[in-house]
Amino acid sequence: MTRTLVILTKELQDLLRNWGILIALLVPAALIPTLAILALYVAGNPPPGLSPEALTPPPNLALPSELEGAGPTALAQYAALVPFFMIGLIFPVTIPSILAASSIVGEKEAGTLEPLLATPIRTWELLLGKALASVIPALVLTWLPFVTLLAAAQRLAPPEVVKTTVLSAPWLFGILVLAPSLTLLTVMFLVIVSAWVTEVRTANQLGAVLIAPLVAMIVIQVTRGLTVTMGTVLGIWAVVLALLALTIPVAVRLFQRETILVRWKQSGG
Amino acid sequence: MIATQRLTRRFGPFTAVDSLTLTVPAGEVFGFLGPNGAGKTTVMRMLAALIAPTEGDAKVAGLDVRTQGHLIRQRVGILTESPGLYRKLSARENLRFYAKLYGVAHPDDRARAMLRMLQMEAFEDKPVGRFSKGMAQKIAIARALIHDPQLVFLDEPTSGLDPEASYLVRDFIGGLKAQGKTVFLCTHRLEEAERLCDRVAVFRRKILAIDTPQGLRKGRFGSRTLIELTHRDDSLLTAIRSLPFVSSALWQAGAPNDPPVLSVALGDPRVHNPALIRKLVEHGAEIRFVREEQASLEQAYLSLTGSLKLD
Repeated sequence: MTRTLVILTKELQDLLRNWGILIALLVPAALIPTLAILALYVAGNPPPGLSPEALTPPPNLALPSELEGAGPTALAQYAALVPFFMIGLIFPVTIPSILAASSIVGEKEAGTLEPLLATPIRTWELLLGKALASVIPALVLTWLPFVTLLAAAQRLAPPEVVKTTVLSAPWLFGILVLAPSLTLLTVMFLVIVSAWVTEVRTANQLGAVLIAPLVAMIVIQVTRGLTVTMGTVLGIWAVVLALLALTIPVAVRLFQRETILVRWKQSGG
Repeated sequence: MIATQRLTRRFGPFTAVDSLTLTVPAGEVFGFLGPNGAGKTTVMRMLAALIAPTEGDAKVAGLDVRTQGHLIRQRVGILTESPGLYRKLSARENLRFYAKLYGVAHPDDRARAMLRMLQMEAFEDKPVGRFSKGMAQKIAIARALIHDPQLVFLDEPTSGLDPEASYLVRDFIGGLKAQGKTVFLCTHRLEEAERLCDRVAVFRRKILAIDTPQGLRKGRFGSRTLIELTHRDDSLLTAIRSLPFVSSALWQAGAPNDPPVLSVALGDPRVHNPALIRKLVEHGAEIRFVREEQASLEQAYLSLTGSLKLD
């Protein structure tokens, strides 16, 4: 376990010196909650002259029972916040796909894996260290914007809006349980991809494949008024768990000294 | 320190290492020579417990490569063909990271000590990405030695280095020998092997020859006696070719104005040179100089690997 911490520390040290990756992580992590807070503020304080219809929730958006009888401002704030749940779930996928691609495929590209594998580190310690180095920043950059949004929502929106959005069971489950599962799935996917890919850029592009289902759900949510219920979140989680059950054994099997040195496609042919 | 018995590694139908039996005693600098793709790195990886043999056995520092890989990796150091350093980390951070992985007590002190030993302390906080190839290679060697292993595997340590950097690295390897460490040196640089190694093996999937560098040269080509004369006389060739111990005699090629030099291959120069000289003098030769010419390790190597056709 000590060696896992050594790997984790080195990975984080390396990350903090990589401005390109830091910007790619921090800008969206700051931008998304800022947009959500702005939407919440505008919905709660419509500029003078704005047509009341502009802030009316779309007719196909199902409203929770707690909002029955709520005023148009509260409804507008609810409608403004709803899409940000799915948007927020993109972080646990994008962040580890950037970090794991850099730390696994990047090591392969730089030729640093063999000296590392020549040390007494066990492959599970190395894999765990690499996974944590992707999972921890991803969760920090998912939870921190959420906490910021929660604090802002409590100041800007009435309690019934907060209760039915950021503090609702699907949101909390999504942030606390689904996000870590999605993060782990992305890391496992990247480990599998690493066996065949020799460039960080290609790994990034393949990692982006995992975002597609989430983007599709955001589109459906916005255009068709899909309500994210506990059932929806549990359904997504069940799919993620099933995929984890498939990918973890494959990733662990591929992440062995022998396999990495002999079967992984090495940089430069 | 290293003992292998019929060690074999196959990749699918391709046999990369075929039945290697080898012993390297402690304290020896052992050169493992062979062309690119000969299987040298595969042997090194098996001995460093990075990949498993398909057949055969190997013991490194008394430990079984199949079942005690973790302990072997703790006790050996390895320099891979590319330095493989973290470019954004400084030299000291790179070494400290590896010292921690090897469980070295006081990793930072050890990293500084290694940098001092390599006269690199002025660069200890500079990112490795800014280093020249030679400097990076020195850090990579320091990394292989950070846990003070008794056995070090070096894979092409001077590959891609300029002559000055190569000299520094060779000097450092010489220092390892003086410290009593066992060094397993994979190389295709023959002058390096000749200068540094106690014994060398020429390898291409299997061992083609194994000896001291001097023994390998002599064993393959023997030596020739060169006799510089005042004038050329072809009848001398006929005379000395009649001697039973002479296996070949010819005029050495040279510029038109060079003095004529007879090149004579014979069984044992120490025993047979006096009879040879007597014969030449009897036939009227006027001798200026007599000297011995030894074949180079390069000639022996090329002949063994099949790249040089012998007459």
